[in-house]
Amino acid sequence: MTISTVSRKARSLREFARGLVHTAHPLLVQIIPIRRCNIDCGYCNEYDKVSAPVPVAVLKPRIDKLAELGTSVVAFSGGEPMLHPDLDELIVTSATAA
Amino acid sequence: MNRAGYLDEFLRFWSPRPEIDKIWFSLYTPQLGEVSEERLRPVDRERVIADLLALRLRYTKLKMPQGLLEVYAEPPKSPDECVFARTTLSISADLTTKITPCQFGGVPDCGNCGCLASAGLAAVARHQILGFIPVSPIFSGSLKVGAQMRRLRPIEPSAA
Repeated sequence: MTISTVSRKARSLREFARGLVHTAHPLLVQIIPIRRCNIDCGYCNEYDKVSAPVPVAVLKPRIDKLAELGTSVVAFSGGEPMLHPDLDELIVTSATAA
Repeated sequence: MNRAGYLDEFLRFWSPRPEIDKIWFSLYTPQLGEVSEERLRPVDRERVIADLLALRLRYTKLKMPQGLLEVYAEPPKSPDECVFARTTLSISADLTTKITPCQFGGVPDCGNCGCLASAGLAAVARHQILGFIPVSPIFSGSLKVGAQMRRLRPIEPSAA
């Protein structure tokens, strides 16, 4: 078992315990950093072809607010989140905000 | 995915990042008869699967076991054979319309299915415990027991 696996399991256990004692925080929040998608799946209507990415300067304060609320999980959805030019920066911000 | 070297490039970018634990890839699942740019041609699909089989050995964060990738080469033939389709219920945003026969709706081209959940569960179903006990009949048996139990349960009144 690697250090990162142990660390991940410890984090899961901590979140589980926190969920039992503190029930007022958001469990899962979805952020849509961009509504544009480069594919056209028949079953999906959650996209368009024109929307610009939401600027990092707009999203960072929202991610900080989610951290302040004690959010357990932040998921990036879309559109196609991989089209956001700064997705890596948003993930780092979410992973380190506390 | 049609560009040669794209998957390697993607993994080279995301793998070294400490905040990334796991990387998975789904493939585009077309509808039957669909002709579109998104659809992978058979030759492209074969190349993508071969690339992923090789790349999983180089990038440890690419958590796609060989058995799962082999399902991409030979996916379940229909929703009736798909464990994921049989064990999940998809409902549209109005919370009443059921999406059938699986999450893709319409008439999905199962021979070109790229659903990671379907492939993962099919890999489990094709696994043989201790090398000789197939998991698939256990899934099917469990579903039949569940269906029988549901019939025995009293019908709950509608909330509407």
